[in-house]
Amino acid sequence: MGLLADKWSEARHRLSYFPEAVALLSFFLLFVFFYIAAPNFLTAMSIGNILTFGSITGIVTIGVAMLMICGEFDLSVGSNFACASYVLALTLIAGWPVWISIPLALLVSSLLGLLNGVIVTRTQIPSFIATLGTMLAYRGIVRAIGKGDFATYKGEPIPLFSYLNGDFVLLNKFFGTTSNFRVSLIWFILVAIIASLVLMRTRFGNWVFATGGAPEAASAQGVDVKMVKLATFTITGLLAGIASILQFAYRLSVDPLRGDGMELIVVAASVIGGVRLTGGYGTIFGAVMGTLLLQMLDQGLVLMKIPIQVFQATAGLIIIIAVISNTYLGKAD
Amino acid sequence: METAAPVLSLKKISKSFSGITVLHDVDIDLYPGEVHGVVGENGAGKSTLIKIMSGAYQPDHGTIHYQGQLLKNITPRWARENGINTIYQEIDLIPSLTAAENIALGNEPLGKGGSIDWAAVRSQARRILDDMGAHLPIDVAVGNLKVAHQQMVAIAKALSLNSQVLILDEPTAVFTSSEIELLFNIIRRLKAQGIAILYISHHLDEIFQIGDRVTVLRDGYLVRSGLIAEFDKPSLVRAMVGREIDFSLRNGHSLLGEEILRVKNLSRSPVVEDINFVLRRGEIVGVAGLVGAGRTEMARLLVGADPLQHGEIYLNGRRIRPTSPMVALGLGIGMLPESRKEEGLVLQRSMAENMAYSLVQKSSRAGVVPWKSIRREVASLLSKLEVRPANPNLQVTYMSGGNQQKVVLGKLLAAKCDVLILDEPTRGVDVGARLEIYKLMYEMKTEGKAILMISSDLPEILTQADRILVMAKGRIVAEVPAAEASEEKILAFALRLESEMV
Repeated sequence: MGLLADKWSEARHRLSYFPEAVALLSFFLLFVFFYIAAPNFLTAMSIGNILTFGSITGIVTIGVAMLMICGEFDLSVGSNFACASYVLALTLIAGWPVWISIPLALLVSSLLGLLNGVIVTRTQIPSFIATLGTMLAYRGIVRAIGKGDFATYKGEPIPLFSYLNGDFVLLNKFFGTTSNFRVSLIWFILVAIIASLVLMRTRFGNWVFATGGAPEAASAQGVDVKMVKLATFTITGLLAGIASILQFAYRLSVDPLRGDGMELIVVAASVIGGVRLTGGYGTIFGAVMGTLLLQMLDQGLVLMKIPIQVFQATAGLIIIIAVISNTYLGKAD
Repeated sequence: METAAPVLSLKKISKSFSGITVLHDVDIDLYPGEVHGVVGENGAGKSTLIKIMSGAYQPDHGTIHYQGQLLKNITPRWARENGINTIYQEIDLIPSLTAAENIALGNEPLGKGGSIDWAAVRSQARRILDDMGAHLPIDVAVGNLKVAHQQMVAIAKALSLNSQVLILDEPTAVFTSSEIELLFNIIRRLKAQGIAILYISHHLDEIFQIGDRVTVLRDGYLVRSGLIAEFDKPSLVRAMVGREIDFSLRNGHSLLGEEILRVKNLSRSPVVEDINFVLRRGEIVGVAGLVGAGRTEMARLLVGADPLQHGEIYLNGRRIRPTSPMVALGLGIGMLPESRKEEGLVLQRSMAENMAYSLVQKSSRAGVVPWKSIRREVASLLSKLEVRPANPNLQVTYMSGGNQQKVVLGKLLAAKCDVLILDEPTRGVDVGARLEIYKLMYEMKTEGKAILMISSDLPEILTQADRILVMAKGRIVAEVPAAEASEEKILAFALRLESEMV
C-alpha cells in the first residue's frame, strides 16, 4: 500500500512536468468512446471534418495559448476574427486586388491585437477586462462596417484562395472523400511548427515564459516585459486574422456573428491542453491537442445525433476535469 | 587582509523619506575578496543602504565610487549589468523556469540562426554552479527547489553577469544549519575569486564566522565599523542598542486582574515550537524578537488563522478551539494584523462600514441587521478614536496610515473583544497617531482587557509593555518584567546570546 502510494506520488511528480498528458489521455479516451458509440466515427470523412474545422480554431488557439503563457488573455479574438473577414470581403467586393486586401486584413487584425496590448500595458488593468471591452467594441465595429448584414464575394474566382483553403486533392483522392480534407490543414501545421519553434528556440519565446511566470522577476532580470506583452498581443491578433482569411477563402462569405463564442472555445482548448491559466507554462502541442479534442467531441456528438447543447455541457465538464487534474498534478512535489 | 582599493565605496551617504532621515552620513567600503557584515536593529537603515548600492534609491547627499569611478544616478539595471548584484530575501527568479533557464534569462546564448543554444544554456549553468560548489538539479522548475537552492541559483545568476559586488540580504533567514554551512562554503569560494560581499544578517554568529569587517548601524547612523577581530559579541550588541527612549511614554502601571488567556504547548513546526504563557486582564504583554522569530505565526495560531499542530488555548478557563479569526472574534479574541491593508480593512468602504462589519457579526438577530443601533455605536466609537477627518463616510483608502490603524482598532473595540492581539500596531504610523494609539491601548487596559503586543520596535516594547516575552526560532526564550528590561537584555535574548552576555 505504502509502496503503491510512493509509486503514484512519483508518477504524479513526473506527470506534473507534462500537463499535456491530461489532454493526450482524455483525447485517447474520448476517441475510444466515440469509436464504440458513434456510428461512422472512424471514417475518412469524419476525421477530415475534425481536422478541417480544427485548423481554423486551432490557429486562433495557438495565438491565445501563447498569450496565456505570457500571462494575459484575449477575449476579443472572435470579434477580431470577424473583422478580418469583413475587411477582406468588403475590399474584394469593392474590386480591390487580393494582394492588397489580404495584407490589409492582416494589418487590421494585428493592430487590433496591438491595441489590446497597449491598453493592458499602459493602464495595468487586467487583460480579461480590457479585452472583454474590446470584444464588444470590435464586434460593434464589425456590425458597423458590415451594416449588420452578410458580406459575400460573388466575383471572379480567386486562384490564390485554392492555395489558402482549397480542396486537399491528394488526401481526398487517397481517402475517397469529396472535399472534407482542405489545404488549411497544411497552414495549421505550419503555424503550429513555427509557433513552437518561436516559443522553444528563440529568446523572445523564453521571455514569453518568463513574463508569464513572474513578471516582476523577469523585469528584474532584464526582460522588457512590456515589449514582450505588446508583441504577443499583436501575434495573437495576427493569428486570428490569418485563421479568418483561411476560412473566408473557403466560404467566400462572412456574417456579423462570425467568430462569436470563439474566444471561450480557444481558451478552453488551451486549458485542456495544459496551458496554465496563471501563465508561465504551456505548449503549442498541448493547445493543438486541446483544439482537436473539442473538435472531435463536436463531430462525435453530431454523429451520435445528440443535440448541440450536450456539446456545450460536455465541453464544460472536460474543461473542469482538465483544470482539476492539471492543478492536482501541478501540486505534486 | 590585502590593502587593495575598495571596489565599492560610499561616502557621507544620507537619505530621507518624507522628511524623516533614515541614513545620516554613512560611509562604507567594500573590498575585493572580503565579506563585510552589516548589523543593526530593525529599522536601523540596512535595507535603505543596500537599495542605494543597488540603484533602487538615489542618495540625497554623498558620493558612490565603483571601481574607482564616481557614479551618479545608478539605476538597478545599470548596477546589475555592471557587476553589483543583490540577492534579496524574496528571490527574483521565475518559478516556472528551470535553474538553467533562469541563469540564462536575458542573456541566452544563441546558436546558429539566432535560436537559443540550449546545450550551452545547460553547460553554462552547470559550470557556474560547479564553480560555486553548489550541487542541485538544473532541469527542475526552480519553484520546486528548496529555498536554499533557489538562492544558489540567484547567486549563480549574478555570477553569470560577472558580479564584482554581491549583496546578500538576510540570506539565511529560513535556512537549516547544514544549508547555512553550504552557503558559507560558497561564500568562501566567491571570496577567493575576489568578489566583494556585503552580508546583512541578524545572526551575529554568522557575521563572526564569515565576516572580515563589520559595520553597525543604529537609527540611520553608522555607530562603529572595523575589522571583525576588533569586536566580540557583547561589544557588537552594545553598539547595536542604545537608541533614545522616551520614558515619559511609559504606559502607566500594571493593573493586574484575573487570568483571561492561557496557552499551553502551542506548536506548529518548525515556525512555532512549544509556546506557553498566561495573559491577565489589565496588562499589556509585549512580544519581542527578530524578524522571522515566529511572533506573527504564533499570533495567527491563537486566532485560528493557521491550523494548530499541538497545544491548547484556554479563555477564562474554558478550552477554546478557534478555527478562524472570525470564530476567534466571536469568542472575544481580536487580532490586528501586521498588514492592515491586506487583512484588516476593506479599503474601498467607508470607515463606518468597516467598523460596522464586526458589529453586524455581533448584533444581528436572525440575520437581520439592526442598522440604527449600529450607526449610533459607530458614531460613539469614532469620537473616542479621534479619527481625523472625523467623517464616518470617508473611504478608508484616503486616510493616513495612523488613522487607518485607528479604524482597525475601532473594529476590534466594536467587536467587544477581551483579548487583543496587536501585530506591529504602530508600523508606518506617524508620531502623533502613535501616541493616540498608545493612549487607546492604555484605555483598553484600564477597562480590563488584555493586550498581546508584537513589536519590532524595542523602545515601544520597553515603554508600553508590562511584561515582555522574547521569541527566537519559534520559541519563547525569556520572559522579562518591564521593570527589569533593557534594550540590551532583550536583544541579547533575541539573538540567543544570553549565556555570553550575562
